[in-house]
Amino acid sequence: MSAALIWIILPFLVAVALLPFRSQRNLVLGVAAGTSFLLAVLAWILPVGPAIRLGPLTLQVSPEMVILGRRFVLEAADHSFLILIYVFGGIWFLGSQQVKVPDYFPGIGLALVAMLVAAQAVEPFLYAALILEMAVLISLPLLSPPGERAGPGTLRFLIFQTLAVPFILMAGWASGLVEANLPGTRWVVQAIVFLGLGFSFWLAVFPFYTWVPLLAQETAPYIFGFLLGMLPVGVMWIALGFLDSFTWLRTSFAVVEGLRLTGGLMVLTAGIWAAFQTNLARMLGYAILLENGFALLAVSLNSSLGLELFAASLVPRLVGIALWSFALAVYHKHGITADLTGLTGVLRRYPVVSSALALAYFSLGGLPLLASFPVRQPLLETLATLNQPVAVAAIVGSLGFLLGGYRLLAALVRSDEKDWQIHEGGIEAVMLGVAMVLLTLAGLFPWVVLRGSLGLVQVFTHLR
Amino acid sequence: MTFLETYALVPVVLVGMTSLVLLFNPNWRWTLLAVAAQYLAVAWLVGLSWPVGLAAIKLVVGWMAGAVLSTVQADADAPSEPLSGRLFRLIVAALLLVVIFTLPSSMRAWLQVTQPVFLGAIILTGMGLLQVSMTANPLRMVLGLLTFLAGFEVLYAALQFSVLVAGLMAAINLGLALAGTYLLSTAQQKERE
Repeated sequence: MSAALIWIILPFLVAVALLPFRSQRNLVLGVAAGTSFLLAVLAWILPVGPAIRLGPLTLQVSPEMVILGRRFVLEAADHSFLILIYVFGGIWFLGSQQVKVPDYFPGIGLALVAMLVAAQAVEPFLYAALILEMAVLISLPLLSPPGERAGPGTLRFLIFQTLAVPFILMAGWASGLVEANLPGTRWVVQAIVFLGLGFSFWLAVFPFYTWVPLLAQETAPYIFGFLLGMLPVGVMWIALGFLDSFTWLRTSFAVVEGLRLTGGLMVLTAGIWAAFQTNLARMLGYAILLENGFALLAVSLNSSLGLELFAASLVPRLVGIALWSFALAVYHKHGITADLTGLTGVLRRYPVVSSALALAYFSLGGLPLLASFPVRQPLLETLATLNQPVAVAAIVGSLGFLLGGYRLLAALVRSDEKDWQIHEGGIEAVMLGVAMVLLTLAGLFPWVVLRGSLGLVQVFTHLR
Repeated sequence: MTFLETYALVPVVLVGMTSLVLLFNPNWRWTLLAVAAQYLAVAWLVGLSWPVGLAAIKLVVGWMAGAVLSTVQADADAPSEPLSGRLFRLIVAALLLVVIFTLPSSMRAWLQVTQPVFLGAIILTGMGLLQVSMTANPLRMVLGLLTFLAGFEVLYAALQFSVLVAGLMAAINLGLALAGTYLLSTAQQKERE
């Protein structure tokens, strides 16, 4: 038995099998969430490589599987990534029970998660581009459900994600030439340019991110959160795999400075736009861009600290995005418009969801005592010693983003009503409450998250 | 010299003409005929680098993509566009073609491909990008993306021979056509409501 069979093919087959039963919503959601959690548990307990004895049976999970001549490799060091991606997949499927999402969300969502794992596992890496493009194509029915006209955000999403494919394939070709010749040849520049453009399209890096707020505005918030929460994590994992594989890439001054500059610009622009934004869905789009910017800055440190900070930022990032989009979906379910006007005084009627939204906002903004702060503080401190203008830009961007949060808070609490009411359902409140406790505890006891995240970076043997 | 190599400039002229038709003509029948002709030229250009049998995959896939897109256009009215819009497209397309034909030979040397392949690929990618940047119509957008990818495939075929990449690119082309069909059908459904 191979690891790819368990963590790629099995969930993909389950996802396909779920599609005909999509009318039985709870069953489908339960199977998708159960499969995700089961795969996360298997990633935790099942060793890849050595044989284990189960009574009279001997079980060995081989790390490699060959499909059509290509290798899909999931080694023991990948188990943390598998746990992360499948736990969060399960959480998203579980949460969707309480909000309005298309019936086929669990099926397509599980297939997407399996494809993200496949893209990370495939060798040579250039095939990841083709797998991710297929993932993007199957996600379209989620972004534009039947009976709804696809908006410009959805079309631009498809355009930019498709534009990435040729550049990544060309980067694969140029990287092959660099490896075949010697580093320092002219092909290095070509490979870096192609890779840079490919990943910029994928990750919506400045200035190719106009589609993110557009998509956020026109798509169901829960779907948007799922897609833009999971997809960039998978893409960044592949990008780190590239950096880890090629010495000429990770030692290139242009790559490190390029990452730092674009990361700083992303944080600065996303933060400033968020400060003037009134729509909470668009603000979520800027929050994701801000997170992507900080992820680039962490990678640009080009050290084990940077890698650890990147890994440590993943859990707060995913919890924050999940909580934010779930809160917006709950508002939507109760007929509340998610902009600063529509949310005026809502805290007194929906205290749990409003608190969750504010907490998610400030956590993603890096407010002290919340989950993202223990990652941001050492990141900015180290960055300031390496490149002060970029550090200042990142701080200004963060302040701009937090300013948007204070505007949100002002709108939520502004009310003439004197009585408090709780309109949220019990399960909604419990789900929101658990996520809020997680974000707060992660801020108060950061070493737990930091220590837990260290396992994620084990796979990058050269970078760490 | 083979027949394909002797007349290698024919597909270059053909992709130039078909991409212009795709950019200007709002009639879906003409559009799909242009797609069919465009993929014939693409297969020809790929055939300059690959065996003809393998290059024919591009033709089959392109025609299949056109056939898939035609399934939802049968009952669709051609979108009308003001003359000023078409004139603007014409000027931009003309400027793009001027830029392409004045590109220095060092660009071609950089990629180490023959002149017809280079020109065909650049025309297709350029016109494809122009198409996607100037439309909000799902059909036009998908056609633009297919044109862009076709240009890339011509170039990539000259640089590397990979049957699996060709197969997966075929799947992506068909997937894009299906995505376009889906987006068009949902738009039409909304209009009927």
